[in-house]
Amino acid sequence: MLKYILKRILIVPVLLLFVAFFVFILLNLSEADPVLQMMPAEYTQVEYDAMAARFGLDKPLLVQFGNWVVNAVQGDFGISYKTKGPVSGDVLYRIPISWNLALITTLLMIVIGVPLGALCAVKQYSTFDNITNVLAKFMGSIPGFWLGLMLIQVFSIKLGWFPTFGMKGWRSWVLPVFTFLLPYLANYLRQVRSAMLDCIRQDYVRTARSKGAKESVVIYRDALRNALLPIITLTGGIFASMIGGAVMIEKVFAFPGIGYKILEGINNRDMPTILACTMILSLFTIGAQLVIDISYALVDPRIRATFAGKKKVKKLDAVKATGGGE
Amino acid sequence: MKRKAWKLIAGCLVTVMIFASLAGCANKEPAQTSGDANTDAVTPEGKDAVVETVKGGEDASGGTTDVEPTGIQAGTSFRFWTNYDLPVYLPWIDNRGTALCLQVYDNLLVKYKGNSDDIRCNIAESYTISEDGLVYDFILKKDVYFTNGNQVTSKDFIATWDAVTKYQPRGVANVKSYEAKGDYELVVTLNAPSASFLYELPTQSVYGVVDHTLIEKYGMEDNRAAVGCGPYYIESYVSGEKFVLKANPNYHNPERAPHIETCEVVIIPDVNTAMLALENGEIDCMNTVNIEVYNTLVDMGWDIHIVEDRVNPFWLNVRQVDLFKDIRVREALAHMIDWQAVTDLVYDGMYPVAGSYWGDGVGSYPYSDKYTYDPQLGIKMLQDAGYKLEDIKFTILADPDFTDMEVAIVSQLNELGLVNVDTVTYDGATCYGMLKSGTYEVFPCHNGYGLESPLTPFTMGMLENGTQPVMFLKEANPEAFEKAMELYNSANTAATWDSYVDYVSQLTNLVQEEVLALGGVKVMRFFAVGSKYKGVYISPISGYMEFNHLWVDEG
Amino acid sequence: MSEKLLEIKNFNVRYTTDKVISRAVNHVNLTIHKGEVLGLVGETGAGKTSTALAILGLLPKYTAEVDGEIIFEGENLVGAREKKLRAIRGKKISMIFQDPMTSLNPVFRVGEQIADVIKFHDNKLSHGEVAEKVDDILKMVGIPASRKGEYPHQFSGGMKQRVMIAIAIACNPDLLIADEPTTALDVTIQAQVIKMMRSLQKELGSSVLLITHDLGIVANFCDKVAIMYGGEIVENGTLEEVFDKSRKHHPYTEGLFASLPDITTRTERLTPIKGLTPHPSELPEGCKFHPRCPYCMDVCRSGGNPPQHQNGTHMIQCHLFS
Repeated sequence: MLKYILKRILIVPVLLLFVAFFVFILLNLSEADPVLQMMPAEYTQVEYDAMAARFGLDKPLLVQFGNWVVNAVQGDFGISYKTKGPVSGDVLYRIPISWNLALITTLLMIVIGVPLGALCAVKQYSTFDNITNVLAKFMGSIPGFWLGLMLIQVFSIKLGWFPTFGMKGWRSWVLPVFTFLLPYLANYLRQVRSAMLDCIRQDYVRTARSKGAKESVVIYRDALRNALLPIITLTGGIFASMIGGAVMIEKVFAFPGIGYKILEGINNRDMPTILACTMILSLFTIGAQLVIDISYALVDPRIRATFAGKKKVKKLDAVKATGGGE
Repeated sequence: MKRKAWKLIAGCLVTVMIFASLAGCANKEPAQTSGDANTDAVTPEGKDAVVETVKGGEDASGGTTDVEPTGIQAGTSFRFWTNYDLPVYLPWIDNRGTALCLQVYDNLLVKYKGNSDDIRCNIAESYTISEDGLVYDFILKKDVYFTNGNQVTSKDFIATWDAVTKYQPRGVANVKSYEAKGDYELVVTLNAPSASFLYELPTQSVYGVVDHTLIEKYGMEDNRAAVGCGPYYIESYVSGEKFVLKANPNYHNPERAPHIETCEVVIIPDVNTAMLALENGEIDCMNTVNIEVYNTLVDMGWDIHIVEDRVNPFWLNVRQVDLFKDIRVREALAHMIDWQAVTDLVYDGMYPVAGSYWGDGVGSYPYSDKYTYDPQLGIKMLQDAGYKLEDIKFTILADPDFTDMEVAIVSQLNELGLVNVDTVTYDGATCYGMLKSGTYEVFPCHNGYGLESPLTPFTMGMLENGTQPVMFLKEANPEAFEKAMELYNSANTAATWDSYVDYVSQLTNLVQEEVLALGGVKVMRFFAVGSKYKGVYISPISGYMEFNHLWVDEG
Repeated sequence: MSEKLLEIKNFNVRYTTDKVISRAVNHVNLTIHKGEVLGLVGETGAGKTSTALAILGLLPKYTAEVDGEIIFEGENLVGAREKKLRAIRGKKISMIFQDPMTSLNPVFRVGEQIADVIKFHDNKLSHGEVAEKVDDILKMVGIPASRKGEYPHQFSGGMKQRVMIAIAIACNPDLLIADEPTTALDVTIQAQVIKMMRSLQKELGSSVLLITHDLGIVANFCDKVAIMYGGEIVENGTLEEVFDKSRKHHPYTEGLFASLPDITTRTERLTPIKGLTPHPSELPEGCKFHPRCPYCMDVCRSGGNPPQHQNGTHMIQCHLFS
């Protein structure tokens, strides 16, 4: 297991390098000349060359990429074409904000979504299930920016409970988190429900009932434990996507996060910013995947077995061989 | 079972609708009541209303100077909205930062209260210009200090201008040399006499002076060097959130001394959120060119100050589109657009029709009858020139800000029978890229026109190496281009402002006679400022506001 | 005759899904006495499993409708409170399911799964006592106690079914319902499992309701046999009565036996019953078997069910004997 994790961690830099190279090439394929974009109204060829040299854009692409990698490894993601300021600090500052927003939202999503989704599955086709389903579909189709503005209108302006924008203590987090949560929760609820339904229909759940287990034990231990696998995949994926995916929320609530930064970067063809944000988002995505895989092993003994040492695997094969014909 | 489910869905939908309508009501109620209280707000009615604009040097809030306080009003604050961040706020880094730089960095001279006709000494005690107009000699005040306590000397200007040469070469484009004579004298020598130089390097806050010891210590890209001697200093900056500015108690110029103790530049990317924040009293001021936002603000009961912004003429790409090489086609098209109808339809008549490519500003020259609206004449001209209406085929490029206007123009032309005229919208950056590379057919842009820099659009749009090629005079009429270049060079070397303006006007006239653009409407910038703030001075065209003149009317 | 343990009286199960009504079990009457093994034989879809699940109250709540009576130890289980049913499940009546591969929870150790049922019904036992019991039970079903820490995926199919049986007998139930316990297993393993079940039944003295379509297993294991078709019991009697070829039988029973190979006479072909089992939602009028019955008469095609002919312990539901 440890060896596996180590292997996965060791491969991270390679993956990042690939992602970086891909993004780098893709950005360079676009027509826009970054030097030209940075130049003032009137310029001479000498000034153009100086600007290109300042940003290292006069060198061949591969050399540019190499330089970028060497600097990035040392934590220097270069100078933004747009703001002309160093990218690293600006982007690093935004990570905790995006991270916290994603984390709080994910935790709430789990805390609300899993029990509610499970309940819907247990009471499939009941009034509760139907109402929740309709509500979820409705919530899922509300555009985030509209909901955000409506919430500001009601809770900030009308009721004065929360600030309209920015980061002013815990109150500032309530509306953004809620706005962010709602569509994700709606989707999550339905996915948890269907994952649970799959498990509830399984024979082992019937077995648990036939053993005289309480319904709550049957649902929250026997079924949920099995439904956790798809739920973990889902949650991990959502969390990773949330970190960079809160563009609308960040814009509406003036939250300086990674998502809006990368959007700005793309709009301005600002390669250093795009690359830095992409690296960070990739890192989170890879990290989330690793955590998902490890949690898998913790939850499911069958997967744990595949991580086990060679000896155990052989034993397992032997068992499989004898069991194969049955 | 199914019927039950449908009932449920219907029930839920009704509930939701009720909530939605309640939310809608909640939206309107307070707006109406406060609207009644402020009926004297500037609300132009109908298309014939004359838009009252704020001129430079004029207090938009109507405050009177006799009650203007002296010194800093303790405990007062002002929160200014901006929609972009400025991670590095040294003056020369990013010219979007002017709103901030204006408050933090001072220069030798100042455009007093945003009025371009009123250039006064600031850090300079006095200045002289040599008779040939080439040598500028500035004597500095001896009691000017940076907010870190260091004295401002000529060394600081030299270090600042070194940075400007690197980052904003346009500012020193005409400068042959600059040197310090002792600690309190600067001598700038130009390549050629220039009437507009005074408005540029010694005046613009983008070239404001920065402590040279800090530049030497931290370099030209480090915020730790961002120390100026302006009326405000940056107390703190939170990335993506806000700048907190504090009034400089030791500010050197009593004419420009700050009154409000704390000013914040608040970053809110979304304009709707900004409006809500304004309504909720979390910001004190916002400005926009968006007519929808303006209407909402008026509905909310805000007193709106209107400032003239730039004109965006619709330039015809003569180089790309063969059709446009024929001046008869260009002129015919200029006759065929009813700009008044466009502004009535899209902007409720708020944006007046421009009488020239540069509005009514410096160097503008009124349109000849080549631009009068006469669609039948236009059609006749096309037919006389041997074109069928369906031969006229081009696409107007739009960034999202202009989509509505272009749809209006295109529909007008389509109705007149030019069925092959179309419009397409891309995001701002894409449009900008296409503009720079010259790969568009028709595109609206102002090309950097300013009251003090009326020649800039020609520099950017007409010269061979211009970065925003829109005036393809060389392709349209080589002879006229020769003449235009003569005028351009004459303007550039004009020793007096009047002759400079004269050359620019002639140049404008020449370009307009060649019908390089279809004309356009004057954009207006709308400022909503909390009513307790007086001393609201906004410079026309550039739309900048100085915080140091603001004061709170406590009465 | 010994004491009645379970009596099912005029019992019906109807499923409603998307407005389609399936009549899975129709006026079934069955009796199991203490210590007796009853074989419930029928094709897939005949209503055997529904009957079994109904006894435990495990039919799906929202889609299944039941009526009739299930008397267990003098009390009616139909409509009984969930708490009461829970106390019976696993403790007094337990069930072995068809597919051991999916009936064990993959994420819990087998020892835990056995221990669970003991703990559910006796929470006073200490951890050690439970563990001891688990070891004993594992030994009874022929699994070394050392394997209790393993997970189901580490067991073969036959071993899994042994674990299922261990779970079922852990609380020494009065009635063991075995729903096709060997169908999913290899033939050789089938024999082992049946043999083990028989010896356990003898040892523990439980009654068994064995649901199967395998007449061979019935002959080996059961005291009484009920033949089920279209949700109804069409023939019911002791093993000898039903298996005695000299006696008269329901045409369906005859068909079942005819479809079995006979070792004594060499036959080229087996004679299957013509047609298909009707889906419970499309049961025909009259006798449910009439579309496939070689002796079908006009009277069979309409009206209610054919009369039941009782001959001592032997019952046949057919018009032929009117």
